[in-house]
Amino acid sequence: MTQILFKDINKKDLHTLAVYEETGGYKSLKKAFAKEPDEIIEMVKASGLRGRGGAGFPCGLKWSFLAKDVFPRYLCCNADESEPGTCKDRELLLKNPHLLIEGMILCSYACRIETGYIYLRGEFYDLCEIMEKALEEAYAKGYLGKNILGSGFDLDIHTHLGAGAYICGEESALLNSLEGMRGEPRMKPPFPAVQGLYAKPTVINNVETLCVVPYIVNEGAEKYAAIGTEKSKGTKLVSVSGHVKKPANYEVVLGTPVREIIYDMAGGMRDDNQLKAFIPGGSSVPMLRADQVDTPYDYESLQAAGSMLGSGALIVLDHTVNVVETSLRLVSFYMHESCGKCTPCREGTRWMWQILHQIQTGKGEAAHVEELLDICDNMSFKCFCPLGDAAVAPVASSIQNFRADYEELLQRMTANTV
Amino acid sequence: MIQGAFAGIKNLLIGLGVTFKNMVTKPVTVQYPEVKRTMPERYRGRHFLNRDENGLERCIGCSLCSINCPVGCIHVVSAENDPENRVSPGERYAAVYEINLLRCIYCGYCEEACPVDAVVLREHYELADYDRDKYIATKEDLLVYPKPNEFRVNILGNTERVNR
Amino acid sequence: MADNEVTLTIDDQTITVPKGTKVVDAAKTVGIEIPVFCYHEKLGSLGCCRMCLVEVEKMPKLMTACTMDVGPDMVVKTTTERVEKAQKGVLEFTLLNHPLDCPVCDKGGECPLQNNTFKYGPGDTRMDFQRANNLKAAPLSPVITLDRERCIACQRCTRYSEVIEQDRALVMLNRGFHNEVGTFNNEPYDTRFSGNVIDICPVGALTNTQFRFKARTWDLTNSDTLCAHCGCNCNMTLGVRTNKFMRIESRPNDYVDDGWICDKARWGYDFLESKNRIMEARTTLDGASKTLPVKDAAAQAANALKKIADEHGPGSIGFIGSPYGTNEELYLYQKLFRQQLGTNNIDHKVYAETPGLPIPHYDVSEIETSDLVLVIASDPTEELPILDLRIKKVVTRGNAKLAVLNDQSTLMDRYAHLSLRYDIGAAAQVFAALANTLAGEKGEVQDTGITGEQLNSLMDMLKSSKKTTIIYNPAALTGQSVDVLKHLLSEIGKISSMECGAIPAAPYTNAVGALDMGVLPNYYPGGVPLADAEAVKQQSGENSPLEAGLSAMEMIEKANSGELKALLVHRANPVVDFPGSKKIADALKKLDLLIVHDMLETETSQLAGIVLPSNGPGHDDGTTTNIGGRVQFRKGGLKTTNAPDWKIISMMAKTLGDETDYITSFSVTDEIAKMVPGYGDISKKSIKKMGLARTAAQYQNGTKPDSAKSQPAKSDGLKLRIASYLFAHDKILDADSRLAHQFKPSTVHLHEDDAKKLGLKNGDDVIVVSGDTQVRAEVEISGKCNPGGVVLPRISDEQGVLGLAGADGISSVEIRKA
Repeated sequence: MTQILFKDINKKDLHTLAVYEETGGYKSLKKAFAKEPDEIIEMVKASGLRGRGGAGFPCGLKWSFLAKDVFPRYLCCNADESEPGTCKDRELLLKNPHLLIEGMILCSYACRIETGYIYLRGEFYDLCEIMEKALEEAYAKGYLGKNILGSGFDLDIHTHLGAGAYICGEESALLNSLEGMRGEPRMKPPFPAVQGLYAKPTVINNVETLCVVPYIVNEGAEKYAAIGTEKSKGTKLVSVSGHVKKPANYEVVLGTPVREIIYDMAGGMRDDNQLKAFIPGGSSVPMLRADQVDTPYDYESLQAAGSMLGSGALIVLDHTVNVVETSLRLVSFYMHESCGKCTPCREGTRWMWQILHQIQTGKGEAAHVEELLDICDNMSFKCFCPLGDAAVAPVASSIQNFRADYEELLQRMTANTV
Repeated sequence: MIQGAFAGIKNLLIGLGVTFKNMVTKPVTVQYPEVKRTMPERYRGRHFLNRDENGLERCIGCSLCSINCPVGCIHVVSAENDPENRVSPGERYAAVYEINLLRCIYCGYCEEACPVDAVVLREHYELADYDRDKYIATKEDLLVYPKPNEFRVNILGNTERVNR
Repeated sequence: MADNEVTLTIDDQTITVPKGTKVVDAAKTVGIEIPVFCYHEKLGSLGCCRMCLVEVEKMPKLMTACTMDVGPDMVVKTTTERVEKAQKGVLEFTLLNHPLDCPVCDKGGECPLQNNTFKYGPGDTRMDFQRANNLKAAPLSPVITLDRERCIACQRCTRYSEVIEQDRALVMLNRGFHNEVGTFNNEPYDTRFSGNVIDICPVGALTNTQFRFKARTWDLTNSDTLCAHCGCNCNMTLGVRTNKFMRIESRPNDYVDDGWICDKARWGYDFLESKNRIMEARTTLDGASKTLPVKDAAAQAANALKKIADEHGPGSIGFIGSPYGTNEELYLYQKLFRQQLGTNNIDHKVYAETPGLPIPHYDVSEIETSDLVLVIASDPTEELPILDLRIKKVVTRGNAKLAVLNDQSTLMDRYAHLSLRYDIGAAAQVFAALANTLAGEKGEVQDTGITGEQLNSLMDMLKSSKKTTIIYNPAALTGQSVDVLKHLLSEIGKISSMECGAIPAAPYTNAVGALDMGVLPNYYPGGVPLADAEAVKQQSGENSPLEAGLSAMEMIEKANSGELKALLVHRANPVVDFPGSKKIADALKKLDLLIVHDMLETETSQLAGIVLPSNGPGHDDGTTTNIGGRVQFRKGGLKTTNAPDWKIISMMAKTLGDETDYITSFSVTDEIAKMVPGYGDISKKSIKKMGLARTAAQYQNGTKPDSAKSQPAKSDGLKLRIASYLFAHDKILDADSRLAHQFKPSTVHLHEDDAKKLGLKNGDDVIVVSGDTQVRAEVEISGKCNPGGVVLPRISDEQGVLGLAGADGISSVEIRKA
């Protein structure tokens, strides 16, 4: 089993610089500084690394899109991991903060950035302390600050705690929040690569993405590209949660069938119940049926199956679950987290919640299901940012795949009231 | 000639037949003003402003009646309600509500336009008077329900206000 | 097709528009309407309402037309089924929790949400839940009420506060479904320009408290008029119903106001129905005060003036006009006094401004294309608020740099790239020094509060600029510094690498018009000087008086010495507004005859023998010339039984033998077009919509100032600078005004050093003394001026600050503890 990010993850005191260096940490810097910045971008491009935050945009391509000759540039590490089901970045930050710092140094060097920010989710204040300590160590050892390892390259990294808004995980809302404004997504274009933080070119990457970069620099792009499938290269951290025996973060080679993740890695269903549904990529992606469990876990196959890899949170539901409740739970999350900027998301999430709540409490009508589908249609791809589409995903897919659940609930409740 | 005489009598009898027939049927006219006709429920006579069940004025002073009026005979000046001392249940009320009954064509558009069923045209049809000035119906003329009707029929058969 | 143009297709129509145009604006050019809520052309894109979704070929998603720039060969469709479904869907969402308030809503009838729903919306809603309830009347400030239920969170108002006002006073609070418009800590939203949010609100959420539930919009008679407060002459609409003043709205004119008006324009018109108005003519000439018809009063006034002129010579009568009068009034008055009464004792001001400029007179819109704005001695924020917005606009969008040269710090300094503060009273010396430096000579800046380097950096800014707009306030320049400034302007005009122009920004409605109309002792209309006898005779006839007249302050002096016997004051209040207030009342009392022609009762009208009623703005028609030289028509809206001012003046002229008949105010305008140089193109038609810039008045080359003369006089006290405050409590904004919450207490701004010397601290009650005038004030120690000076904003008429000023506006004051 190939382990890149979780290779030494359970080593004692890995979060300290000394132990990290023991495991070969910060070795990539020397290698990198020997190369031209553009070569590193080429390497990352060649490795086929794709963004691990949710959208899956090729990482090297993103770096090469930075506006030419505009300085200063900024790097923002998106550690605002708030997607229900996802907790992979948390584990990396908790146990291996130096890996992220190393990744950020490499990215900054490649993109000629002199200031980096780690935007941490508001609830991560304990991780913020760990991160601060790690940064301190790195500064003391000369991995950060002026003239890193005598290369003439300067980099400062700051941490920033958010105020607890899911929307700030959206890259442009993150920039707004970092600038001290309301966490609302910005208009695109201009894209952050052209006008991002303080209207300067900005790279925004997920924690996991940046953590992969040291491996690519150390071991070469080819070695990384050899892992995984043809189009989905490398490994992916998967947060398995729900009705499995061993919910945890697993590092999975892309292309592994979902069945293997659920039944082999996570130990199978709890009480050996029957699998009913699974959400492959965090709450923002459509849920899939049990018969799709043999889908390989990679970007393309999941998309072909009608869902997405997203942030890599595999939520498993067994046969005791009525998906209406799942949808209601997820929609209430999106209703609470909608920033309120655009109309369909602000009003639509609440309306969906009202209808689902009504169905759940037994006051639903048969027409409500069609109504929900129409609201989903009116919302999807018409909102300002992907949050609206994300809110639609569980509802639309649950109706599509498990319409019987809705009808059963409607019938049962009507029978009760009559 | 005899034939002509017969024809004359026959026609006379036909005419008298109609007369006698109508002598025994119920008359279509009434002895106005001693007897008053009951008007159909939806008859569009004189306007009134309704009150709601709490005795507040229904009218919210939206002026939709006035803009819908084809002859422009309604004048509304609205004002904001004092929450302590409400005139109407909404936020605004009509401080002035006047209908020029002389100009009105009793088309009932105002009633149709009213979003709160405040202005209605009712069965009162005796609208003649000697003084033109009395035809500007103000709020106190229009807001007579549910108070006892303050109108009575005078000896000339005209509707007049009891206490002006 | 030029490089900066793009051709695209919208609904089968091919159009070519400039690059960077938004699709929604491009569609508008060919009459295709794309519905919007959050988009506003002055605020830019936001894309939050999602109403403007359109289909673009080759794009999988529907796109928002308001955020998308046009692209070459783009094919946009606005009427496909997909688009219509989306529009219906978005409108359903928008209306989901919007109350069915239309019958009571003040926006009803002019509401974009109503219109769009009617055109694009679903006929019905499927929402069968309890609609969200919220606060129906939340006062944002004493003049703005927010209906939270109606708000659709389009963020126009908050963006206005951020982008246009630049202070982010109004913000969105909370998140998601709970988000709402508000201010930090629920402070009142009472900026200088807060009212504009009412106009841009696409629903009835932000409402004008004054107009709240007073009338329906379709019942109003709207007259397109101009604001009559400051010199900006912003365009506005006066809504009247049954001859009662209802509300004021902005009326965009990019040459003048860029679509905005200030709060004083919106709520400062309560004087139209003030108790204090002069409604009828009265006379005390025959003993007790009695009223009489306006016609008789006009005749009596004209005859009395003529009698005194005949007895004591034309030099014994005088006229003090007002920079607040219309061109017609000013023109007719100077004509009456010059042609019928034969005197040149005509003036309208107490500062030393002359008509014309040595460099072009720029229209306000020229600021937008400038790359340097130089503000001299002007405080646009308080004096000409809409000019302030315009300057902020160009500066904050990075299109221009701002340099400020002033003796007090102003809010403009916050945006300035270079801000120089000279000592109070040192203006002339600084201008001379800068002029000399520009001319290549040595500029002396000793004892002026600014350094040679600072002066040089200003000069560098000027020299590196391609187009400069200079804004100066002649009313804030005391003594002869205006002359020196004009010399400076001509030196700046000599910089060959740069285009430049100036805006004389005196804070009075028609200050430029008053100069143009020749309400001056030594200039005829159009800036024709008395010295040029030929030109005068050619322009105004053989009998035109040619001996120099008295300026306003000289007239007061002569009245005091008894040489001036009669004075007509039109729409001015010398007793309060002229320097040395108390002395002026004494002087006016010595006159044989004082005629006051005014709108509101003033301290001066109380002294008058004959009082004529003036209708003023809101009632009378007329034209005014704004600070940018644009002549616009100010229409009346309210009806009155009194004759308009121009007619009263015409009656006086007719009593004295003038035979011209004026039918409407435009008859006078036509005569102005004929008689006043520079106004040749002005006619009813030509100024109809946007107004028309008149040709600037002729400028007499000034002489190079004597540097010794411009040396500030040494004195012991602190030098006084009287500053302006937009919402001063005066006759216009009286105690009943809706803007009374903006009134401020009397405050004197001191420099730290001076405060230490005098042993004063913040908040101390002091008396500011000059001669026998005392003004109470509270101390505020701020860096508002350099050491050795005090800044005293004029906050009310009662405060009496002008009593402290010397005849030429310069004065030293002493500060004592109260």
